[in-house]
Amino acid sequence: MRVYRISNRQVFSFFVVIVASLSFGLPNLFMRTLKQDFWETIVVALVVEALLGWVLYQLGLRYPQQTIFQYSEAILGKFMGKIFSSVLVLFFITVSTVFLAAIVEFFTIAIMPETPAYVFKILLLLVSVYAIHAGIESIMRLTEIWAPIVVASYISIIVLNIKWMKLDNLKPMFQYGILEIAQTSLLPIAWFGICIIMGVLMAYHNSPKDFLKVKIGGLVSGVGILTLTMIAGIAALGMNVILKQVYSIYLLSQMVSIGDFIERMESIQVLTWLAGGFICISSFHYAGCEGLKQIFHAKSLAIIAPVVSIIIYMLTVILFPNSVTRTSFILNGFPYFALAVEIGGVFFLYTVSFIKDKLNPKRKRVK
Amino acid sequence: METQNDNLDQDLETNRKKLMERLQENQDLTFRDFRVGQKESRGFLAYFESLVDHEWITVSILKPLMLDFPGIQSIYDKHNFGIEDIQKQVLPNSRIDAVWEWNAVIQALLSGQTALFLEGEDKALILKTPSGEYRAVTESESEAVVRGPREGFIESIGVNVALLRRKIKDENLKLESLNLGRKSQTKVNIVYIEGVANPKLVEEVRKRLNRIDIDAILESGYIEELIEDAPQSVYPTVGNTEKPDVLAAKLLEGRVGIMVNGTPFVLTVPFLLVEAFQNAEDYYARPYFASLIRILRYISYMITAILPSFYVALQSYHQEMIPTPLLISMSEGREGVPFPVFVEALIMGIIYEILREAGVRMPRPVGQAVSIVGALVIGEASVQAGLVSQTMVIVVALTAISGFVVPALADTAAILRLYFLLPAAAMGLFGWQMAFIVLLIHLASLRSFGVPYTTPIMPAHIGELQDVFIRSPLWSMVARPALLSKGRRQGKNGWQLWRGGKKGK
Repeated sequence: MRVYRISNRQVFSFFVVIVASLSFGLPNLFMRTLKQDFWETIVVALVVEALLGWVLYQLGLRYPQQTIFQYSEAILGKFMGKIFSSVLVLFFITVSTVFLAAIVEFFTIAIMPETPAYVFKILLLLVSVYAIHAGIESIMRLTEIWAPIVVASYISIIVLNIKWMKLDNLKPMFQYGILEIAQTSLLPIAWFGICIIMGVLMAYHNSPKDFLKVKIGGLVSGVGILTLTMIAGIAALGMNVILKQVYSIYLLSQMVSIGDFIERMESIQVLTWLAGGFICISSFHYAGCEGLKQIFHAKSLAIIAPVVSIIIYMLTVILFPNSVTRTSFILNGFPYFALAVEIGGVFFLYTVSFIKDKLNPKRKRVK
Repeated sequence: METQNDNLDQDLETNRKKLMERLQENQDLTFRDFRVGQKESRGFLAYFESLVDHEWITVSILKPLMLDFPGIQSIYDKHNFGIEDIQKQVLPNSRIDAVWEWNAVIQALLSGQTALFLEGEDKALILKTPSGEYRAVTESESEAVVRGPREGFIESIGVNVALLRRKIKDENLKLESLNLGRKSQTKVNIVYIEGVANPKLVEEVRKRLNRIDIDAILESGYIEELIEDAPQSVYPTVGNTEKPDVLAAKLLEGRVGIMVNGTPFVLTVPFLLVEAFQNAEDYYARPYFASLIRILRYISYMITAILPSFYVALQSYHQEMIPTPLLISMSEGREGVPFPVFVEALIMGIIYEILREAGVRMPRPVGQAVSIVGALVIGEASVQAGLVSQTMVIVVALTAISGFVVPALADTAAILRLYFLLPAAAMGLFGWQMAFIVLLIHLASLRSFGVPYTTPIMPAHIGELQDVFIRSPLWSMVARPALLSKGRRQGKNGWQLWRGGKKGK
């Protein structure tokens, strides 16, 4: 019988969903400095992310069917490899934590203010543990079926708000210099950089040669939809209103009204985003567990997954006691850590692998 | 009792004694003595009186032996004619097996056959004489159709095989037989079409069936539970059908059928989720209407599984989502209802399940009483008494009716209703959505005989979606399902056929 692995469509859907799920609280941070010019930083971030993707793709091809945790040990040696993997695990767990905190915060602020945050957190983490138990294939299948719904949700928000849009709101544009754009790009670069999870996924892909183009396709589609929705938000609400909103896209979805009968459909939108957010939490949770499994040579994730979920829970409590600390972490803490791992770590790994190959050509391409 | 499998003896009386020993305390075990040949060799027939057709024994065994035999001069005069001569020249039965072992003799007797013993022979002849007391081939009640073949399988595996062979007249239609159940020794057939079914799948079915070690197989449900991939799941991963045309269609797609003697339900594997939404009639009706009905089935299943919980979540937590005029009339209906909406939904759900179960189990004559109690007391009186809101009655009624649209998943829908109700009542749409995600992950992780259960939806096979939510025209369905069989089901490209037809060629 055919052994099922992750397919191209699943990888594509995955990157669409995780990028589109950044809508929980991030868009207004992206727009904060450059305002109407924010999309330029997103273009820069996409280029950097494509380069990063190429580097991981090369590593993935060189070490087929191995996760980044496995080949980092092969490249850096056992000890250094484990240290590198530990940093990566910490990174993945942090991303999962930030997603969890952002989603729970959104629910406690905007949807169900009377329900305590821990209820949401525990439920999301329990389901995440169940998803990990069911395996990466199951998470990817969920992604595959959910991506079209997420995309449809964004497109419906854009289309159904056309009547409010004023293109004048998109002016002024092109006001900032290259240096400012480069500086501001760091935040989107750091966030789109979470796509280094491809270092784990590529090992399970059924045709690794196609991975890069599928990934970039998914990334560009996801970022495109997110950016379009943000631009639609600016056009419909104006820059001033947007900047004061934490959840600008949510506000946009609240304005949808069909025939004066179907109104306030944002709960349905929220449901689609919740599933998208859950996919992010569980996939990064999974990546963290997979790393720990490699580090400790564990046989299964049965114990690791619940333990990591407890760690994620504790981290959300310690790191993000309130909305201000979360925003501050996203703006001032996370980008440096993320850039160090995504750019520094991955390029370092690639350089060492490259030098090792040059010194010992026989090792090259163990395909 | 310990089972010895030794061989038959040459001495007739020893054999009789042995047989009586093995089958003691069986009052319906009958011996019929006779003498044959010029030398009047002694012999006897052994059979279970309750299982055989007496007329058949008289006409096709005793008459040839005792009356017609003298006419066959070539062996009648022989001094030492043997049981082989009887088998080849005297008895006209279409099937006669010679056996040497006691276990084979006992097994044959227990399945309604007759054993013939002869003096001086260490083997016996097994003659097919089962009585034909079976239900006639009638219309299947569980899979009724308006257009399409009416016949359904019955309890006799032999008749069922005949019904199938009449549908598929192909030399590659293979039928493997085995007996399962230590005590019941139920005959089970594995059927598949060689060259269409994946040989690994057939081997897997064989392996799983051979693993079964249980006292009795009284219905195919026993086998289903013992061979399925996910016994812990509420979803069935083994399919069943009562209709020969459905079984034929499934075999032609590369599936394997498991026929069990004593039940009209034939198992098919692998069973995918989408099969539950397909109906034989979809393929006999025109594709547009069939597609519409197919979509309605999916909607109905969603309604029956999630409507009560969705209603509870909206009423309890997200009233803002309900359009204002609708909300006002719903709130008016709920005025004076003493229970929270969750309790109301739970009570009504349980009452409905009780009514349904009573409807299935009760003797037919009291049916009307249950209907009256259900319709008047539960429906009308409880609303008038202010115990239940009208909207809730509508929700429960819609849920109940929708449940019958997809009969294969009706029992899972009943469980899902309860499963969704609790998180929806506790946490509104958030809880409901988390429950939905768990369900999706569970479905995504299921497999049926190695094939992902939710194929071709997730993982998606775009080409095969033409027979999932809609039923495409037959000419466009050229290939067989890729995960089951690699071949094509149509020789010529259907598109060309269609275009040719359009041009009037």
